[in-house]
Amino acid sequence: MEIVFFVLAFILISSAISVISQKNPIFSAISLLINLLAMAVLYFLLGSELIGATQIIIYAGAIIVLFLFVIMIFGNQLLPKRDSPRSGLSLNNLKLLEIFIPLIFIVLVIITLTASVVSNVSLNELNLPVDTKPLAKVLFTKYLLPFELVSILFLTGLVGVVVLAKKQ
Amino acid sequence: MITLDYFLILSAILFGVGIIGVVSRRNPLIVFMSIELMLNAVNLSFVAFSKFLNNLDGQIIVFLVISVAAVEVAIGLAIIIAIFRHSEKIDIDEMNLMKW
Repeated sequence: MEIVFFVLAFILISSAISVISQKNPIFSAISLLINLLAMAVLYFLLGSELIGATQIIIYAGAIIVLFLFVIMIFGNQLLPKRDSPRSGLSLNNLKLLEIFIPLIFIVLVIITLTASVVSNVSLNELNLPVDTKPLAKVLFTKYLLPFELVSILFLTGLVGVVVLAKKQ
Repeated sequence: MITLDYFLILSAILFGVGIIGVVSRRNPLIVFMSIELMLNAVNLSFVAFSKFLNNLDGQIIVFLVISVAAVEVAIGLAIIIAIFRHSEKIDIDEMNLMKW
């Protein structure tokens, strides 16, 4: 279990760094796909099969395909002409790293101090039942209103996309 | 011995990588991908909390986050297409039409 977790963590972090550092957006999209699939395997490891399957279907099946379609429509024109990083904030400009590395470090320290208070069991001691049925029960009783609101959100998004993308 | 804090630390690192991508890249597509990375990191910590605390509410929130992320990507890419038709220039630094 530990080896699987650490291999997955390595894949996740390296593919995330690859997403933000590739010049070609297609390679970024493929790295994002690798990242999402590794995350789905991590959900399976945690024992939530429904979330993992949803992750694969929606992210890998829909969102990555959308990204690839937009890259395909625009081709190389989408790349900024001067491919230098942004003015003011860049990875070369050390200001960004000076802000973020201490911030991330502080967050990590807080997490390690507080997480053991919240829960002290390890993944091996956890009993992980298949929780699709209780999840569905909660979703359709306690969380029925947010579930219905999501459908309104989808409808709004659908209308908005058609209005935005249609030719004037 | 994998405890809860391993998952939370992994999630925080992924979130930090996403923030650096949002702030430092020019290409709006890669900015959207970085936002997806951040949403995924948050989802991971929700699922980990839900499993370790034996509470199903976290996984429901993950479903809501995934659907909001899908809608957000669709709308964002439509906006990028509209801006591309309008100005032929896709650069985050050049998009300052609505800047006050």
